[in-house]
Amino acid sequence: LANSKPKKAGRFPKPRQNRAKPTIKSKDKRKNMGLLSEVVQSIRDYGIFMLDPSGTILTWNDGAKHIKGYSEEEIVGQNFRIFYLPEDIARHHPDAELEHARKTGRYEEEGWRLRKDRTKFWASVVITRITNRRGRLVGFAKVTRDLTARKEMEERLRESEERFRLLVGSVKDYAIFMLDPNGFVMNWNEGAAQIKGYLSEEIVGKHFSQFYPPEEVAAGKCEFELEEATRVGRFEDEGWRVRKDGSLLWANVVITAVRDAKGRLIGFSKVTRDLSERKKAEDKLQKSYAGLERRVQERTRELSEANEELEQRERDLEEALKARDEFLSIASHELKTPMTSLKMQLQMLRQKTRPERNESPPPEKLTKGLETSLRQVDRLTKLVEDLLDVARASARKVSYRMESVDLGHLVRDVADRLKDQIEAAGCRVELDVEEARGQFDPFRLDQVLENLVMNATKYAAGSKITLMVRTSGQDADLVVKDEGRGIPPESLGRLFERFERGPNSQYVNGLGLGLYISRQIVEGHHGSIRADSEEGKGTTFTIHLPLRQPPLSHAQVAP
Amino acid sequence: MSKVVLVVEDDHDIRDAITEFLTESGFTIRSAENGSMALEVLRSGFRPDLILLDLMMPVMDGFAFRAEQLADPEIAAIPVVVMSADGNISQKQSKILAVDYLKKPLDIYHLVASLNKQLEK
Repeated sequence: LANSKPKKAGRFPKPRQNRAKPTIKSKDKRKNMGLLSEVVQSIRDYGIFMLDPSGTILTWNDGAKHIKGYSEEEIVGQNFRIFYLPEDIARHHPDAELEHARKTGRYEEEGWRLRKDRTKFWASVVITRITNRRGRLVGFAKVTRDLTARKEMEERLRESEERFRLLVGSVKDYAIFMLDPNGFVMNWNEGAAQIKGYLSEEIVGKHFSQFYPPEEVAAGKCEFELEEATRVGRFEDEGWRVRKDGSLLWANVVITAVRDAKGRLIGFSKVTRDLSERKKAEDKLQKSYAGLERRVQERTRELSEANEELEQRERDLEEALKARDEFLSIASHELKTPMTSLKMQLQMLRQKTRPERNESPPPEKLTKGLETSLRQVDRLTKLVEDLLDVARASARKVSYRMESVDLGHLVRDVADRLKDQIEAAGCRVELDVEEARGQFDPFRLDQVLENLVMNATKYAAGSKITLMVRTSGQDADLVVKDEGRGIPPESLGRLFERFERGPNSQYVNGLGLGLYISRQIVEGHHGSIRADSEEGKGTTFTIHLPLRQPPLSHAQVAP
Repeated sequence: MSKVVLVVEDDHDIRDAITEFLTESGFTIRSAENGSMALEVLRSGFRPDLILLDLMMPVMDGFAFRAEQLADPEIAAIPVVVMSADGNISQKQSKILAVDYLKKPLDIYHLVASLNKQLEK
């Protein structure tokens, strides 16, 4: 080999044959060697070629051509330094390699080499010393593999790992670190330092139980977590953890088992998030909820107490009203019973003392006394009735019994009944009525009408009293008109007030409650009453009533 | 033939006055001092032409009497004129179903007029 001409173009088998001549005796062996050189020649993934002791390239195979780009003709005879980077050549690296292989038999490395087009590739190089039988160096076999792809992958991986490491290292919001399979801290990031308070050098190598409250460590929590992570691959928990300064933090912790390609557990990644602020906010919220709930409960209780009190008051009031009503009923009965007796006795006495029933006429004093007594009984009766009516009105106990009534008929009845009193007052009645049928309480309206007519006889004695009934659509007007002295304007406004009386009241009996009660009754029929008066010309009372009462409501029962 | 009236009134003086006056006015009067006694009289077979009924009475009041009377077909048809001291009778009127209603204090002339009117019917 060493004698081969550097520039000689030759195939790999040739030198082998050259070299084989002195070493291989058997024809078979030679034949095999020939076969082998064919194989070597055709290998494409490895550049396999021979160098003489000075580094001159003697042979070339397809792989070498493929990897480095040179054809056999171009490269055989050149020094193998051509494959090296200028800086490697400058430091005599190719010579050093050969020297190493010469001395030790083998040199192996990975490094950058140059292709024919001067591009770099990452090569795995093995240089093997070749000696003859006498131990003399005859050259080197060089096997080169192009590991650029692997190298690039490794480089990318390394960069990626580096980026990842930097990323993890710089994360501040999460403590991210590794535990070895036994739970000892292997590394530490910025977030871990911030959250837990330890510097990397203070904690790496320590057991992670340091982060747990002692009672939880005693309860076997740490072992449990690693066991769970080992068993199911992942363990997540929220709970109290301990900082370096002993303070507690509320943390979300995820422990993930990390396994190698063969599935062997190589440790755990531990990611911890500090949720203390959230926990604080939640607790605060919960507290405020609890406070709110308590207040709602208190308020509800207060309301229910107030409600009970109200109900009690209502019951009391109802009872009071009932008692009042009962009292009114009893008072009415008790007062009227003796009055009934008295009135009947007086009426009967008067009847008995009538001249036509006696032979000798009774003394005038007796007759006059009986008349006065009867008048006083009537006056007393009126007072009592007014008083009871007012009491009922204030107690809102006036009730109405609505029925179909013709107002014209009602007016005629009243006029007829009061004929004697009207005549006694020197008045005369003029009726101007039409049929006006509607829903009214006849007793109550009778009372109003009587009151107005009797008022007219008192305040307009000697005048004409006109009673009128007119309908218009759904309403009716009931008019009582006198031609008396009239009511001064200053009194008109107060006419329907309680205890209000006309200016000539010295002639008039009663408490001045008549018009007040009349107004109550008219309003109880959802109507209105008004007075128009001109002094010296007379007064007109107009009662305006709807013919139909609204559907039964409280207003009807209690005006 | 004079008309027969049953007067049901608890007050002794009023009962006597009514009895005296109506008798003088030509009525035949029988009286009872409460609803219960009136029922007793009626159930013993007495059949007046009309009943003059007070409302507020001890033992059995006018309302209870009317309820019993109306429930008894033998006597249900006898007309009733009510007399009451209660000025606030309107709402009670529907329950009592009287042919007439007289307010106390009674006016004897009104009383006679009412009875004559009802009995003429």
